[in-house]
Amino acid sequence: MYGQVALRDRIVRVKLVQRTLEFHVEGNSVIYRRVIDGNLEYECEVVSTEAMFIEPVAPIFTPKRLTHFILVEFTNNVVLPPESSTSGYTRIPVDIAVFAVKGEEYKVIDVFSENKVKYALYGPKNEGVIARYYKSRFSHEVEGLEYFKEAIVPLEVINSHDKWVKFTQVLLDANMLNFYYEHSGKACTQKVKVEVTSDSSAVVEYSKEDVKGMYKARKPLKLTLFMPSFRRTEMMWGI
Amino acid sequence: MEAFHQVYEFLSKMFSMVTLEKIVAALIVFIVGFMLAYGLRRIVYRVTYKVAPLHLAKSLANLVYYVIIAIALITVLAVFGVDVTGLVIAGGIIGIVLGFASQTIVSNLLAGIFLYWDKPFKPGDPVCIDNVAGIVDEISILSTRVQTWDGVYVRIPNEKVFTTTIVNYGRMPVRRVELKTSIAYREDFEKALEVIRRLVEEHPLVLAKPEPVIFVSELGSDGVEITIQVWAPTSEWINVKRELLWLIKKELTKAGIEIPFPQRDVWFRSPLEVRVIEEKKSK
Repeated sequence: MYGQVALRDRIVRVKLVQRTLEFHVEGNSVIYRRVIDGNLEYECEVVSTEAMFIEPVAPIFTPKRLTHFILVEFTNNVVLPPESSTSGYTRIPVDIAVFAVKGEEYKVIDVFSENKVKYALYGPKNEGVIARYYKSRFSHEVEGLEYFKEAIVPLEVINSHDKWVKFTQVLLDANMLNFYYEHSGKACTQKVKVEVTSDSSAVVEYSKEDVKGMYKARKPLKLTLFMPSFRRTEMMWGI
Repeated sequence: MEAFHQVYEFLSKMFSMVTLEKIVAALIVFIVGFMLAYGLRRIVYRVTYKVAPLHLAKSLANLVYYVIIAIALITVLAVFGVDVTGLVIAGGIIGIVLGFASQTIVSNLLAGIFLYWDKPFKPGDPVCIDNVAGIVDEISILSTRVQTWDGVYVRIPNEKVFTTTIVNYGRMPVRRVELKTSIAYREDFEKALEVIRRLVEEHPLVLAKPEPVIFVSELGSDGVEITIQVWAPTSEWINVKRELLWLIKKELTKAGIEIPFPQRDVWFRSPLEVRVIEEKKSK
């Protein structure tokens, strides 16, 4: 489950995909353990926390923080005529974060992923960017979402170019993505608009509107404090 | 006693020239000079720090400050009637002497400025400068300091940095890792390739794009040589290289694929005589 962990019992176990998260309440401390196949992967003691939350975050923290970009390559290509648009969905991987919360303040105590991680270079070797790489379909309906592993990205693709274009990939800036979740494990981001400006470039814009009916996930602090907040991403090296 | 008398006479002469007007004028000259120096130092710093490194901006601002202070002091002496012609000439000569003496310093300084514009590296970059490999620690106006891989601190004059070959390992976002392994001729090449391909695909830090390349690079005397070329984020290059080679060895062994070692068949031109010596076992 995503959301607040009910720390009423002495031991709370939350089963995700491969991993189980254990919260042992001892006095005013909570011993947090991440376990996989009975083996302890990570342990942390949190003192005097008011609440603990399990929430989806951008897939850029594991195994190392190398980038803030996510490159989704479509397994199916989308071809758009000049001055046209389409809407659909794609999926991106998520990392899972455990937050300790006290009042307004929170701290990430663990981030992990239930996905296989892969990176790719977007752009040329001398000036491209490293991005978390994921293959996914562009579809008109939400399909095949893997809970605790993926999040849905609602996409609006507009072809402003005066020629036919083939849309094969999208580069997303994780700093600009907000994540929303349901307790069941379903996750999604806000709407993302992709305006194709030529046969090899596009501008990605991120909606400011929250997704209704879902909980908004916290953002790990580092993402919001030190990153410049441009609400658009330029795709200069291929679409 | 004679020297004391001379100093006394000089001071008496000096003080006889001092009048209230001259003191006021000298004070005004000095204060104006000081304010001018102070103000210009700030202006020069504010203008240059935007376009030049901080240390360069500070040095330029200080240079302007001290030159103006020196001019103000000379003017003050002139106000008191001291003949500064000799001082200026002496200053000129000292300047020429210093100029010759500081040729290296000036060339290092200029090289530092050119390096700033050229920007072949920045602090934190892994580099090899004049056969010194390591991480750039600091780039100052006169020298570049490099911390070598084994933790030795090396100071390289900028003049040398400017004229030598610089290799910057961290400039590009990605770097290629090339590994070589070989398998015995009797082994199943397709199977070996499959094992290596799976490892490359599963390694999170091996980039999916640019795509990895795995190929037979040589039919060697000891075995079939396989070359693996993968791309990794520059910061992770060494980790990928270390991990992948070990994983390849481990997984090939696990799959029962023999990694051959050099073997030689030795042929003797004349037949070898073998003498067998029987040894009696002692009871």
